[in-house]
Amino acid sequence: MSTAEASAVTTSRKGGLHPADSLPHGAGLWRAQVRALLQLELRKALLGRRSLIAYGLAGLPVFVMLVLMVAKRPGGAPVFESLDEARTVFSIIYQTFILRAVVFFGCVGVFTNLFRGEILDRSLHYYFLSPVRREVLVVGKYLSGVALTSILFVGTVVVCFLMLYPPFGLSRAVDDLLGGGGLGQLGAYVGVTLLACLGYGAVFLIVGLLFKNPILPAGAVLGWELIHFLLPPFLKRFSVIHYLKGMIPVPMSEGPFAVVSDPPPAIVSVIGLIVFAILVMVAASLRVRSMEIRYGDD
Amino acid sequence: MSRDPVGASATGPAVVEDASSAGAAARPGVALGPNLSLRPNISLRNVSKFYGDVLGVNRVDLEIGPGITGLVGPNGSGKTTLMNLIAGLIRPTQGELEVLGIGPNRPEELFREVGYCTSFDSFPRGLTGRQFIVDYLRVHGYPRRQARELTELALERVRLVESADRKVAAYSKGMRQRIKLAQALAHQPRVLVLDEPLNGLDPVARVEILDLFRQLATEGLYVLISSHILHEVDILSDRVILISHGYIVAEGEIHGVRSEVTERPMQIFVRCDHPETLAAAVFAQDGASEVQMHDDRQGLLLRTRDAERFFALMERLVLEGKVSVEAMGPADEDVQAVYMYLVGDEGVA
Repeated sequence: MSTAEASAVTTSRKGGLHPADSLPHGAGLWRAQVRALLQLELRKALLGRRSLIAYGLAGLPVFVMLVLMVAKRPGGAPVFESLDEARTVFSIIYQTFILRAVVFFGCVGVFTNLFRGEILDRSLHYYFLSPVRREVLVVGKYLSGVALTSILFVGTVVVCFLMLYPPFGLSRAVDDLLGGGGLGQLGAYVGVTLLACLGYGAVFLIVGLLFKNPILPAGAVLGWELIHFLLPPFLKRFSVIHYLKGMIPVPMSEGPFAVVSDPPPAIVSVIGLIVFAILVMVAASLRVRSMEIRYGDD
Repeated sequence: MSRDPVGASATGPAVVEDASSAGAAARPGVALGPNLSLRPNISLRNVSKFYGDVLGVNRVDLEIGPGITGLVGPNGSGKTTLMNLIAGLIRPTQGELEVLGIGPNRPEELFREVGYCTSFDSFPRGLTGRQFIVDYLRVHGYPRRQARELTELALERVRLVESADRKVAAYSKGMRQRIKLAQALAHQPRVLVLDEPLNGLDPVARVEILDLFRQLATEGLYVLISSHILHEVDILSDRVILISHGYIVAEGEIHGVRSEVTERPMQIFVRCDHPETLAAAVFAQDGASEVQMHDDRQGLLLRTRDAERFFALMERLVLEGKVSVEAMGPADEDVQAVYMYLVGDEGVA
């Protein structure tokens, strides 16, 4: 909206004008609405009780890294004897704990509650009574979930990764980060975490819309993700972890029983997860379009 | 794009159906007058809503014009379902519904014109009253400055400016009602749907809010109010809709609705100097079923099936100087009486 248009904004219906007459139309309006949804949802989420679980989950890896930093092996040697070893330990923690537990359950908590939480709070009708397309509402809520989980879990990953360096001194840390590939690895972990939030977020957005009690379906998804290394290559494609694994900078052995298959190239993983998220949002929009407010039944 | 100012008031048809038909198939009612509106109203044509096998409302035909319309019925009668349908929160199972010519499949236009103060006493967590209104106006698409201006206007209208920066969770019941009302008003809708809006308000606040509703009606808004306090509906509404068991039992101006209830004699009170003379004249005339003298013997209450004939008799007696009338009027031409005749005494005060 230009300055001239803004100055012409009226807050009354006098002269037949309605305040909404000055609003943009089409894509411009949708952008403004998504922005507003994002801000409102983030404000509610950051201060809400339901986010306490996500905060707790985000803090757990930091606590684990802190313990590893100060802990000694039985012979008295530190856990992180060398930087390479420290990176390997971090990769194991990242893949087994951060990615498969912290980010996973964090996304369960945040995304299943995007709509379900408001139904339980009996406040969803305020959105449904707003002149906002249900598709825009889905996009706004999903992006707010992605923003919240990304802020929390990317923050966790960055802090945990940087906690590898204190035992080796500041100059070593700077050298490794700037010249030893540390920054690249950190970037890769951040990227994988963002994609995990995107992918798991989409899964649990639709789970929250389809199931009144999302615990069982979330458990089923967890089981599927955990056994994915045993799945034949075709079925592996239907798990989020399959697209993330190939981008993790320090690979981890999956054991003797794993069905080995080449992970997709990074570009395929990124585009694949984005397309998956879009398809889920289309499905979620169709579901939300047909939703009616009947809190008593929920 | 500009919009037309709200046009002339419409007098909706008064339709009365036998209360005993509730639960059976709806019968066509008696239309007392044509719909004079030249602009789209709130119209429901053969609208039904079922929740699975459970009836919400059935075969509703309504045309609601500007002004205050009271929606009255016992608990579970379908009031909230009807309001949810009009407000676009739920969709009809069958039939057509338009609000100012806008169907429920055009939410971006519909929800600019409709403000709904629901009966749900719930709010998004963690917000102050002011944030609550500003943030949802931002979701409408308003820039922050304009959202704030609209919020201040709404807060002033419900007189909640001073408490607007407190968390909604810390509000009293009356303040929560007011903030809900402010939120429903803030985007300046032309249709305001209010489900039990006076619940929890203290007497002073009730008067203020009733004045606000009247003011909104004079501004040309369509105000649909449900209440189980019949007295409030009576003093507030230009017309009423009586609903029972999902069926519209009667609708229209209360005088029109009452005059259609022919199986119940009309009650008329008269304050005069010679009530005995009047009583004798009335009994001499067919039609009066009962006459009851006031305790102070300065007036009487009578029940008649032919009010027109009684008024002609009164006129003659006054002209002949046989009685001098101090006051006279219908004693049961109010929502309370009509409700009792058509619905019974369940679930209202």
